[in-house]
Amino acid sequence: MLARLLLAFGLLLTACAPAAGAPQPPRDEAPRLVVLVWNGSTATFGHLDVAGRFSPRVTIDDPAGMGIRAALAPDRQHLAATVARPGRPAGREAGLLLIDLARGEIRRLLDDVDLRGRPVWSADGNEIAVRRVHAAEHGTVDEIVAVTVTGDVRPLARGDGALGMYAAGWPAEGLHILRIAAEGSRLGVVDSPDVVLSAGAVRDVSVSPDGRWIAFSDYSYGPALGLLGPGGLTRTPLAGPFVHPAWRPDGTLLVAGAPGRAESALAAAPVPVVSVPSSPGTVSLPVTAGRAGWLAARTVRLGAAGAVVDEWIDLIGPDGRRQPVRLPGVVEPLGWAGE
Amino acid sequence: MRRLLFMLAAAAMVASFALPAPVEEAFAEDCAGTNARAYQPTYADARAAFIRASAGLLGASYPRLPLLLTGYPESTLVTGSVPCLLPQAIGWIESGWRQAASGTARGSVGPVLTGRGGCGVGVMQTSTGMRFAGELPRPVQLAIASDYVYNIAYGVQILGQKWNATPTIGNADPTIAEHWYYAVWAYNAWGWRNNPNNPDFPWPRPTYTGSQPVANYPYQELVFGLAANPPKVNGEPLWQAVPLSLPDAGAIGISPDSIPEPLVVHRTYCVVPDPYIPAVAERTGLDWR
Repeated sequence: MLARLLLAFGLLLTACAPAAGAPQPPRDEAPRLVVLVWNGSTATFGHLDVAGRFSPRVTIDDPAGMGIRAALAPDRQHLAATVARPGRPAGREAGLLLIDLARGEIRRLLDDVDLRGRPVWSADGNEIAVRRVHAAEHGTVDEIVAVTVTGDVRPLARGDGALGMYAAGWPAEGLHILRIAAEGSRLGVVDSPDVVLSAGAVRDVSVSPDGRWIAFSDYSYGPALGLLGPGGLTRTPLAGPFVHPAWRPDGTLLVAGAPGRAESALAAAPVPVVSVPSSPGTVSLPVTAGRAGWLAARTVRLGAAGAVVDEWIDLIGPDGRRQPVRLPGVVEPLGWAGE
Repeated sequence: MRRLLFMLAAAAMVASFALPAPVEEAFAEDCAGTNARAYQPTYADARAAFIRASAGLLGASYPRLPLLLTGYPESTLVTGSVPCLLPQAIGWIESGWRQAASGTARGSVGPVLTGRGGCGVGVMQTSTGMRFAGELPRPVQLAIASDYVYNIAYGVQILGQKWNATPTIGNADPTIAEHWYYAVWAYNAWGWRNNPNNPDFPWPRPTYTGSQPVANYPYQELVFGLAANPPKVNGEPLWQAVPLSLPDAGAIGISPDSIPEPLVVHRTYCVVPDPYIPAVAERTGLDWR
């Protein structure tokens, strides 16, 4: 009897132990993807584990169905989110919320911000840049303001006839502001001269982990990866339909792949660039990469004339294996936590 | 000290001239027609009004479509119509086909549906001429606010004016729904905010079906998306679905100008009285004309 009990206990211990050859980090340090799941009238923030299981943490209402722009703080615990307030004019129709994922707390920091402008955290996590749009005599004027986590506000930049102004990244050297005007796109740190990026509109501006490089998508003359760094500006045409750059913590740049076509041009880029593999008929757009080697990608299936007919999230492991994730609603990866 | 004060004053003047002056925004209490009461149309009521207004079949007491500039590069003014599904989709996005406040049952009377952040009223949420009492003659403002048929006709008239005021798509044929892309854009706001290349919108993005965040799309893509994905009432679509094509965003660029039509376009007809009679012909660039 005693022998059978010991055998059963031993089997139980074996079942609970990590599989041989696959060391697992402690549970609270396992990679988890912070995601926003929007379902039409509410938005839920929570964690997605690498097996695709979702753990909701905080839910907020979005009765207008406008959608929510959110950004994960450097501490990987707080979020800044803009949420529509019905009845307000365009460009000032949202409130800025500070959300504590661990405690489930929500605090309103500021009203009258532009719903469509994504909040951007400063590198030290003390401030958030958001956009406001003011009515002017002829059209509108964009303004970027910084909001501290205690709700203090200071203006950073105001539009000077540009078509649009965007907070594009906030490394230690200062907030990068993208300005788009009829002449093209320019980027600069607040109070410093701008650099011309393109004759067209660029998108997906992202700053490298060391703050030295700026990557962006440029579709002005076909899909191309733009890189602005110590050596100046480079433009690398890509074979696939999309660019969508995202940095890995080690400084490698990820871009969307092109099914069945080699990206030989990437070898000439001034930083290491890797394209995310895609299967026929789909393209995986890198969104956020974690330190443990996990990547969250938005995968789109393309129909006739290149239209997006389906999309989902792929969690791609360090070994390249994929975990497709489909949840009820629109899923947006915001960053990795718990590593 | 005087010199310092002068320099500060000069600097302040430069700053005030360098930045566009903010102006007061319109507040709901300033808007015209907000105290009106209105009949909440049934879906059938609204549909009939959309079709008649789009086809120019309302009487002389209602706003009429302007003559439409047709043809490119040479254009002429012609008596035209608007593809019916476009005002219907616009009306759904603007108000859910409501003239009265959302708590008012269809077929009954209630307070007028007022603007969501502006001075728009009623089904088409038109704010043009409604920003203050007297901007339009009072009887006109009252009709826009209290009469859903008038409101729809006024919205369709504005859409026609936007057609004439915006660059052409293809050969500027008003019977082709895709050629109205710029006009629908301008119905909401002709500017960078609705440019499909605005980095505020995710790229790439799937066709809007009514189940994605509105803020992820420029206005005209909401309308074109709903044209292909009509809302359903009691299981029935409110209009015949038409998978409208979007123009090449790359061709639009930063400063929109005349552009080619998409590869596949749809010639649509307003059919009175039954909108469910097939009323659409699809063609590619090669096999029609």
